[in-house]
Amino acid sequence: MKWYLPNYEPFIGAHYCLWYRGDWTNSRVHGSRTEYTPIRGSYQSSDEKVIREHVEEAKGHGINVFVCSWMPPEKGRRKVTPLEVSPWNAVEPNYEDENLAKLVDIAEELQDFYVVVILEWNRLREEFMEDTTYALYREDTKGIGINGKPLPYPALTRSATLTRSGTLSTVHLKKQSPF
Amino acid sequence: MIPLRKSLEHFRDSVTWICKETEEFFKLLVKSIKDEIGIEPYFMGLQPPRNPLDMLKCGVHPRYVRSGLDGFFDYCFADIRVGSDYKKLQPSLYASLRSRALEEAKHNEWFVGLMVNAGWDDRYIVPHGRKISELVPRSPLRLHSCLIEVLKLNPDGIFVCSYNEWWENSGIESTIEFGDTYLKIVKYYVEKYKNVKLSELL
Repeated sequence: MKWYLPNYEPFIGAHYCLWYRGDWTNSRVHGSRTEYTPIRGSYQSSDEKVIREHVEEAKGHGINVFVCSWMPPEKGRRKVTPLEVSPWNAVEPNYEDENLAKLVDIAEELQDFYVVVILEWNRLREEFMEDTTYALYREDTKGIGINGKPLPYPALTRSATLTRSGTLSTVHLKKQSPF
Repeated sequence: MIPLRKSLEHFRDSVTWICKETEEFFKLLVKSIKDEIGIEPYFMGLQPPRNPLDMLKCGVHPRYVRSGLDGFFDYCFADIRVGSDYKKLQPSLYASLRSRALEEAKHNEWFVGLMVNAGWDDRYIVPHGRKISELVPRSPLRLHSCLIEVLKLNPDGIFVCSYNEWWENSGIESTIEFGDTYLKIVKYYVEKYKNVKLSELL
């Protein structure tokens, strides 16, 4: 018995960040937050053209899953470092969530590309339940959905860890024989 | 009240994940999701070891899966030779743990995905308290060696960390300085990996 994605491809995932806002500078450090310069410059994660280019570039190099760090709406305000430079400390608490919606739509459109979510900092089962429910019934929670529709099956389902930090990740895989 | 919540209310006040009720919790959760929307999800653990023994405590240990999970991702972001989490763990022991995890996984039909990266250096966002010895310089050679080690073990999946985590200098996305060098490396090894997987299907 082997594990495959719905298209019978093996899982080749890459961690994908949805939090960039066009300003990659940090005056408290070295002026820049990165040592290298992406060819797309200091892009915004909300830019659909950039997302599309990312998916196409990844697909063209054998990657078939983007594994996204993600905060549910409103939790994006959380401060996790003393310097408040954490990407989680978003000015717009729904920014990552809205960008995830765009990514899921583009992945679905380009086909054979999947999206998996890592939900950080969930310590309580109560939160886990809320966020699982949210991800599966997007339109039912806090008025925010992916273009007013539930997450497309099978792009996103839930999984969880039992680690101390309570990280939650999601993946959908087929566990079945292809014959 | 969302229907899914009703059957799980018993668990709402639990503050820890690892406990005797975990397996029951996941069973109920899967059943609820399946009943409500027809999806039967697989639950994967993401395993960031905080110390060398976590591989044994969480990753390899069967309780991880007995607790209701279908498998886990290895999430070792730092090099085992230099990372603070792995300073005490010799590469040979780490490879042995990974190998043991995969053996157990195959025997029990669990999913195990292994992580590779091109480097890790988050001093640009966490300028305080980070020692040079804890960081892994981003380099094509690093990515090469990680992929070779992972392919030897033939895992169920590969997890590249990361595509565009620029603030930790681990991204493989095209850059002005390196072009698509890192992506080409991934493509080279992924094609080999997919060919192996394809041969398993035939």
